[in-house]
Amino acid sequence: MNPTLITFIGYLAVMITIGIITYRMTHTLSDYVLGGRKLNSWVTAFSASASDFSGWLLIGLPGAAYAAGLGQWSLWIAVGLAVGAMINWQYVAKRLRIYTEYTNDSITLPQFFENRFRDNSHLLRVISALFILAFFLFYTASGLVAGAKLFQGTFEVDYHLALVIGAIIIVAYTFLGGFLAVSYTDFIQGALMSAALLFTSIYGLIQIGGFGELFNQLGSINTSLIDAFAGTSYDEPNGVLWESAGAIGAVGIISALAWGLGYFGQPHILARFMAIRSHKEVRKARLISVSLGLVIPLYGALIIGMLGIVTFDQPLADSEQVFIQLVQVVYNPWVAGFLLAAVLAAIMSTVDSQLLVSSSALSEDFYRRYLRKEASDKELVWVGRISVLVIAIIALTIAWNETSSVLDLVSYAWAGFGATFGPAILFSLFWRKTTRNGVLAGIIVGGVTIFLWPLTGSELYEMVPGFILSSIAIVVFSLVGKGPTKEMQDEYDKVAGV
Amino acid sequence: MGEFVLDGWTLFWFAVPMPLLVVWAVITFFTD
Repeated sequence: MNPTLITFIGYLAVMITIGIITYRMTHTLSDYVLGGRKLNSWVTAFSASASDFSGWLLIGLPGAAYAAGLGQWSLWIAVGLAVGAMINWQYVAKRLRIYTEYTNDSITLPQFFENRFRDNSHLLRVISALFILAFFLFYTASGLVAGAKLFQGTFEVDYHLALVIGAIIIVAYTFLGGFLAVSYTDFIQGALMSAALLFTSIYGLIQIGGFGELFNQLGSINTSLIDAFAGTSYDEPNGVLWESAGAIGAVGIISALAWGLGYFGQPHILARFMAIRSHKEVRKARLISVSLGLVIPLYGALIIGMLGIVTFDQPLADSEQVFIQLVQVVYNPWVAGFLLAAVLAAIMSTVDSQLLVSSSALSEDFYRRYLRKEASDKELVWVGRISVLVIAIIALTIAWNETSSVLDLVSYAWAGFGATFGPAILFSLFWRKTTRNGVLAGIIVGGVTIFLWPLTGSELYEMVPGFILSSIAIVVFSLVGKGPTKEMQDEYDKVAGV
Repeated sequence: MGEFVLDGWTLFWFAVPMPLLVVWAVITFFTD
């Protein structure tokens, strides 16, 4: 037993013990989501940023910075995300929160659309739930890949074995009532991750002699690593180590900045806006979320990726291992074990809450609504558990490919939600002439574009065409049909404070 | 300092937009 393993297992044992003690406190999804209505701004702030893309911040983005320095996409993605997050908090959060007060206290996205447009046919709700289910599969798969990479990098086990062990642990405690999804542990893990990224990057910078020396060493490997407009190729197994790949051009920059558009449509982040205690808490949550929850971790992730390039003697076979390996080089083994366990717990709690949201879409929005309207609560709990299992197995097959990258999987799911729900949310909140048919068309056009775009072979991030086509569909279908009822327009005016 | 430094625009995009967003969040914290 080495110290890393001891602290790793110790941390998880403590988390599981806390979980079993508080097991009776959260039983159902509505407990979990509604528990959110009592959340204060600190908890909301972290769960809407760091906790919600733990695997991406700790595995995906550092990997991109390791493979290409500040070039290629990594810096532009960080800038795009920070801008998108701030605009989302500044303009969408408060209005969405006020709107939910007028629309029967909606707590999920499909519910909000149904209530906002008085959709008695439930079509809007079912179609949204269907897309949420489809794209969450890729999110869940990215979490499984992140967990597997952590096991693989810490204990040197085979990728597929690591993947299966991780998936079994996650499903097991989702069955235990999803206790790790309790928002307070979400907050602690988000804060811990943010701190780990901050301290590791500062410590590494001090060791190396500051930014100037870091950029000097990177430049001596290849100047494309310190040029935001240059591309770099990295593929260690095939012997390609940081070779220049030409300018990334407008398509590369627009694609990376377009990550920021994704924020407007992420169901799990918007759910936090709907669940904040009161709209007066928004300004405080916004400040915490954008600074401690996002900008600091983004800088940390970029710097850690770049430190990895100049730290390791042996280039990594998988660039996404950079944070996991750096932690083991930088810290003493006891601290490393604690940090790696915290990372695993954060990744698991992210996957676990995604499984809960997906399985509720299946059990509540489909099963209860269409198959068996008279289903008992006990029956629904079992349907929920079976759907967790089914979703986990599908996500496992998506993640099975050994060269899976957290960045690619997240990028697809992020674009999926951004294009499907982003325009729908923005038009619902800011255009009084929006109708149910408009939003329905926008959701379908956005989602289908994301599915089909890869077939074009274009280098452009699918978010861009998806978002644009979805917006056009909303405007066209809202204008050609019957306009919104007077009741809906009055409600809109009340919310907009006209 | 060595011979390799960030070029002007890369330095600008690395050092300016993200801190500026935090400044915006601080300002709106006091003005909202």
